Amino acid sequence: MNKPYFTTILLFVLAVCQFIMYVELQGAEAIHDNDKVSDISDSAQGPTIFFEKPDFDFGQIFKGQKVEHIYEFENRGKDILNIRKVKTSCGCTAAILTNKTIPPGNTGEIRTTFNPGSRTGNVTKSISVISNDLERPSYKLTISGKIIEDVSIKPRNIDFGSVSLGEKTSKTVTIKSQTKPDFKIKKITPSKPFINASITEEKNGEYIIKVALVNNPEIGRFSGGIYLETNSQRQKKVTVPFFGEIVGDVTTYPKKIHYGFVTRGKELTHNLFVKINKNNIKILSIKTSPDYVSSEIVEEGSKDNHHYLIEVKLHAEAAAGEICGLLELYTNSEIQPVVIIPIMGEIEEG
Amino acid sequence: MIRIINQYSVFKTLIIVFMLMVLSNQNNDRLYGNETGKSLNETSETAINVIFTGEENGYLEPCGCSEKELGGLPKRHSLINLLRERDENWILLSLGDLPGKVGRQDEIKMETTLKALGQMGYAAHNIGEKDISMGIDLLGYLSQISSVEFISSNIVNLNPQILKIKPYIVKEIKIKEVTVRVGILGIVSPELIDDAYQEIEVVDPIESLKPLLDKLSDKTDLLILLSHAEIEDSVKIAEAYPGFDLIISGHRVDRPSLYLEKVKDTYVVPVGEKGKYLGTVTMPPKLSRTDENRPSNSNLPAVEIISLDERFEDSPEIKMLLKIYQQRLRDEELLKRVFKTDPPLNLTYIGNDDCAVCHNKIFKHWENTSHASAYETLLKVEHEYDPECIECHTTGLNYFTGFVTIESTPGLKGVGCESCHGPGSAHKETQSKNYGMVDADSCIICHEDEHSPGFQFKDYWQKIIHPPEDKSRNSYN
Repeated sequence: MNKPYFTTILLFVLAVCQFIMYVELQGAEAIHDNDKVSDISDSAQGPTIFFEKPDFDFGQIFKGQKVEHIYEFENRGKDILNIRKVKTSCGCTAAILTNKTIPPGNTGEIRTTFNPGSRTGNVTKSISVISNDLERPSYKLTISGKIIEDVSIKPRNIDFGSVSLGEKTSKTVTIKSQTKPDFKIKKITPSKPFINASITEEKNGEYIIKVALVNNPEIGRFSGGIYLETNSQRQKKVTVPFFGEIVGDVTTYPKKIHYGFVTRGKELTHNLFVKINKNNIKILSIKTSPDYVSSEIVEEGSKDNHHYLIEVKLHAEAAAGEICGLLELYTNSEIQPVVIIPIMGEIEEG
Repeated sequence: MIRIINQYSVFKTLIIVFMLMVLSNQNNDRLYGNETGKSLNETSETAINVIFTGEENGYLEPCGCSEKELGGLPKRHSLINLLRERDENWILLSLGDLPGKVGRQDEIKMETTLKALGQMGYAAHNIGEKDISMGIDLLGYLSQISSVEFISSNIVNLNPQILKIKPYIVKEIKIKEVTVRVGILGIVSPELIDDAYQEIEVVDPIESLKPLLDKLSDKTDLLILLSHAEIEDSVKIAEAYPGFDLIISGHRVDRPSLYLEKVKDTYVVPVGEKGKYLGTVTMPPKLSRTDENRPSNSNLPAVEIISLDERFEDSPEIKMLLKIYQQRLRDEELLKRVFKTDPPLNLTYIGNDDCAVCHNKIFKHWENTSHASAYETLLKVEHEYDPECIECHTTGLNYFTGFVTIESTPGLKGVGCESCHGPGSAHKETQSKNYGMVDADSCIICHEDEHSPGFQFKDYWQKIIHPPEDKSRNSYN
């Protein structure tokens, strides 16, 4: 055949293939379904990438434990297979290609390392192999499995919720090893003096720990952790976070209003949520300072869920300089007759 | 002459082939939702445009440890502003999981992020399992003061007065004098919920979505689901409910461009992790679900996943919010509240100056390494009161006798001798030779993928390798 004609036909075939691929993408999956590999005709003229096992399930591993796997592939086509790129869906997966150019009938390898880091639970990560195979320009491999922690903690966090000032309350947490029948907790240390933590029950390596709020701190949010030392080789140290809020008769959110840097002449509104925790408590009055800050109750909840929503407005006439204001909520509460919300920010010249 | 014509034909064919290939590849890129790194998505005034982000996991901005770090709320805002210059009609959606952990710092982070989303004009935030783990009280307060609607179609809310969550929202957009209604629903996978909560119940999304879809399908032109679940679970929802035009999903997919799926007519698109990417979807309204003339399989969206990299400037407004965030960490003295435990074997931290008495040559060398100036690098970016940052820029933060504040423990600033070798009190007394053996595992506590992506022990070791001491007994290299 005349050489120019041959080149023209070859290029035309290439273009048609490319165009068909585009049409397929419009109507089918954006990422190719690897199951279609079996349909690849042996008569393919170009290179054909083929993975016998594109999906690897590593089963169950421990948190932090690395997994290595080699994906083997073959060029089942009639032209040289060029691997242009191997992309991983996650920084946790590294993939190294042993050979970028695979002649027909030859094989290659992609060596992968999956590092779960702090991940737990079921994971599926993808590796995309980009090649000059026109049928499968992007071949999707997967690596999947379950990552478990040796020491299981239920619940994972201790949420005390809202605790009334002076109220004593406690929560329990169950801790056990998933692998070690002779699991032991050697030491328990709470991070805050107002928290007591003690073992109330131990049976076959399963511990129930009572975490008690004993001496209430001041009104406001609190958080910390129960630090455990165990005989687990994989998790010698375990921390169980706790948090909550000591509330009086009135709870406000946020505790401070930050306007930040505001251009002079701009008006800004922040919402302040006020929750009433005791019957018959109400807001008697609200004072704001300086005079370019105002407040207005825009919503008041029912008796069952008594709350207020207050709009705190920074007016346009505020002069340049630091905002150092206060919002004072006057209530009929004995323990919180006045709740003070600092108002902060700075007005800048435009 | 024939030869000239043949050559001309070949040349012409080549051009046509080239153009066909270029055209087809361009479209493939879009469908693959590549991290384009190219021009921004060209929007149209006649299209429904959606911006989606999610799974911030407490990442407000790149901390600056590595030049390659992507993401951040300030860059996101700049990109949104750029997109808005082309079209005002963007619907901004958040998939869920604003915080990464529990505790006071993440509470402040969550409040800051929500404020940023409000400033950027987000329409809805779907509740993720990490949002829930912050506690229903806090979530309730935030739902009251935020300008962003909280949505969840499968959370049964037992205290609706305090926790304001809507099962869905409908956004109306005017396109060429025609009002288009976009229904936005959201779910969180029950499999992601570890703990039981008294105030809420997370139910099966397949069951909870059915009545809502029955209600919305005739009243909306486009239905979007924010599916806070693994991609596989979202695909199941797409199979069960082909009425969804778009499902934004993914859980812990940190490179989202590879995961785009199409299930019948529904696209399932991931958002990526840690706020590193921003996704856009552009859909033509004339092909929306209520259009009787809509052909099957016609509603092809243009999907683009854009890496938030150095192409985008930091928005000054959001940068200011982050400055306030840092100020709040300082005001609340979170450094003093860092959870500390006893150092091993009742040892104590002694500080670099004590080490220098015997190891002066090593100390002099250390003074010129980046480890020595690690605290100053935080000062430059004004993150010196951030407990998450300071842990790797000081010595012994998590232990009693370790770093507390710069005022009370100035000798423990920077990555000092005891950061790698451990507390040195016993070694100071006994000059024991078995003190302070270090391997690569000690380094990767701080030099992990996120903050030190280029870390290779052999290369980095060369930067800090200690010179031999004059007295060989003191050499650890």
